[in-house]
Amino acid sequence: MHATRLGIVVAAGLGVALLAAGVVTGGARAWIGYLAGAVALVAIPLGSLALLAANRLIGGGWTGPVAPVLLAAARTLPLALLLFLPIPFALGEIYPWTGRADPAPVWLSEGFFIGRTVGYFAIWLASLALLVRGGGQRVAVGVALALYTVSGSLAGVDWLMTLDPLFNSSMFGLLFVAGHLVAALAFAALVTYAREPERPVGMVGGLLLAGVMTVAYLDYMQFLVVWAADHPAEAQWYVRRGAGALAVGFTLLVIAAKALVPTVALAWPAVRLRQRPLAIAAGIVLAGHLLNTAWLALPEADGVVPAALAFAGVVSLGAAAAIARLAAQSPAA
Amino acid sequence: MMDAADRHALFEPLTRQIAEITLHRRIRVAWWLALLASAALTALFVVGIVWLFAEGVGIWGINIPVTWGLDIVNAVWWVGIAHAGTLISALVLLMRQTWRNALNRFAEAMTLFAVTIALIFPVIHLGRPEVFYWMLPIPNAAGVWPQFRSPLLWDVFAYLSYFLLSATFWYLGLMPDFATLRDRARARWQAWIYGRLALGWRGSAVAWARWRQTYLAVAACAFIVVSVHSAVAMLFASSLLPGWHSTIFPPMFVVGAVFSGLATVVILAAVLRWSFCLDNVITDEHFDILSRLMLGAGLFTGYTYGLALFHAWFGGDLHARHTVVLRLAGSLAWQTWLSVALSLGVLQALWWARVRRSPAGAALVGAAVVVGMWLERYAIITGGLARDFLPSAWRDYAPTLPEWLLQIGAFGLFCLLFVLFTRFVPLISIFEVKAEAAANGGERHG
Repeated sequence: MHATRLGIVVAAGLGVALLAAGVVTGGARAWIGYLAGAVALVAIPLGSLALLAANRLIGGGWTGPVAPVLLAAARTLPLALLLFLPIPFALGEIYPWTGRADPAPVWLSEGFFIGRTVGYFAIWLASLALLVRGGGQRVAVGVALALYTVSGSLAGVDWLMTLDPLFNSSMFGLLFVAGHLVAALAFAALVTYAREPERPVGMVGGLLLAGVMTVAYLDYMQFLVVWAADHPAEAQWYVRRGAGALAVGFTLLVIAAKALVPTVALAWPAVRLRQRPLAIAAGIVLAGHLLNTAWLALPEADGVVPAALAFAGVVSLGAAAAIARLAAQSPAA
Repeated sequence: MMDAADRHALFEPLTRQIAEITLHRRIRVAWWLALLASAALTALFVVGIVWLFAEGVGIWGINIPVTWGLDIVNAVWWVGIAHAGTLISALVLLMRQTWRNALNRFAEAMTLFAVTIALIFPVIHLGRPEVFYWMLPIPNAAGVWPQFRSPLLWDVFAYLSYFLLSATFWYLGLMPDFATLRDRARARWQAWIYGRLALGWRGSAVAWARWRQTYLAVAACAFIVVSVHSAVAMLFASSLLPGWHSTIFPPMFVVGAVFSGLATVVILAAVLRWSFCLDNVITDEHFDILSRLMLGAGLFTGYTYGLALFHAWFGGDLHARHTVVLRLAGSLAWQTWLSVALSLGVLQALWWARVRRSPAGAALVGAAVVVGMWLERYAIITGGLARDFLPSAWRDYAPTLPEWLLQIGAFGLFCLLFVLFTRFVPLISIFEVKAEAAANGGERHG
């Protein structure tokens, strides 16, 4: 218990310190990092919600081993909503499309943007209520899942893709939603191991492998289409992520953490089917998710360092919250 | 564990039921009629090809800007139909789902025949089909070398490797059943032929173990199925044409392919069950599962349509937005709405369990989906080319008689191959259905 409390204090302290460092070094330029942190964290409750809904719809016990953690994670959605509250006040600092008068934008007007985000959260919280109550006809769960797929895709486009108003990829939303599922599953596998190291993992490793490979496929296809068509408006988005040794190194790190290492590792039954190796692989996938979100957002920032500090700060605060919640629940819950 | 007598009692009726169809059953008039009809349609295909080779592609309706017509529509559509066979047989095998066992044999046959037809179209659409091998990177004196950065070349590799993989997988799965046919054959010539085809299979434990390893290894290679239709999608997405260039195209094509393929499997399952009285093997439960998969694939396809349209509008590009308008309310709208009504509209009937579990109902929905997905390919391919950046160069496309001959003839060829398949190859995987029956304690087939 003592170690848990220490963990919470260290993570929270680190989070506050990093956030403060971001603000001190970059001022308002740290906001993109804050946004990226919030977006990376909200993926866990959203992905958990979608996995639980999908399992209820399709049937079968494939989330069984991690279902309690998924449910607990899904219940943190209101907490993630809190993270988004300051963002409407900083839209001008984050998005380059704000403040345009001519031509009057329709989709990218500030009021409509905020209204949409409110709408997304309303859909998700209603879906959460439906799922937590345990009731809900299969049709209702199916509708919730369909609504999540559409609203999640649009949210990804709104929050991250419009950081560069010229970039337009119809795959972006699907990638965003698929990333949620993988991140939530990895998180649940990791936490389940931390709470109950002996609990059998069932199909979780196989599911994680399938998810990681699917996202890698989608990521690669988006890149391949953009590379082959070579349209400047789209290509410059990737060019920016490959400009300079640091950017290339970071891109390679993201590819390794979210695709290469977990795919190779989880292909082995010795990793996929055993608790501890699976937990390590899941940890790498989760790290890959966080790095990937940073990779999507931070290159659009004016100064990368303050944004990166703020991103790390928010993620650290999220970790503190996660540890605190887990400590409050006994494994039997 | 069951003893030998139990096993015999459990397995014998099933083995006899399936093997009889191939070995002993008197050939019915209906089968001859089906063979005759499909052979007549295949003759149209031959006529279409001879005509084409004699006159050249000028007899088709294609011209600048629409240089891809029914030839490429069919190459894309047929290879798409093939996808469900691979999904059902290989990927579901890896997920250790046993319901596939009644379906995989004819679904794989469907895959093989559909890929074969899909391979014919790109070759005959070349102005000079006799030099099709120039597409392969073969060292040669003329110094002809393919462009490795072109999706056209990726498609050559994708189609060919897909054909090889599905043929290998199908044959591997057939070996134990060929041995069963050999052992039960009454005529010597039948025993001789099926014995050769079984490659000396004796059913020893070692043979089974090796076979199992190989079968799973080939199944694991089936993930290339995803790359096949992705490479097809790259033909369009890698261009800059409004209505073609969209990053969602690879997954949209893959899911759409699986969607149309599942619809074809449902149709074939219904026809086979009715023709050969296989109610105890292809059950209502199978139709329920296939229908659910079809519904899921269809809804996901609809979602990808939504993404493609939204982002064409969202990007703000004048041409892309104009294409959206043309497709939804303009001169191309009839293609869009007819395709959506047939594929996604009729599909909604599958929300009702009664439709899902009825072979006739599911097959009717499947037929609408297959036609709808053909129209979708037609709309994307010809519609995209007909309306590019230069309005003064816009020109519509209408297929000519030689193209329709090939269209109908290809359908005939598929039917012909399938009719022959039902007669000479066990159309259900005997040993896998037996294994499933044994695992279930003989509840279903006893």
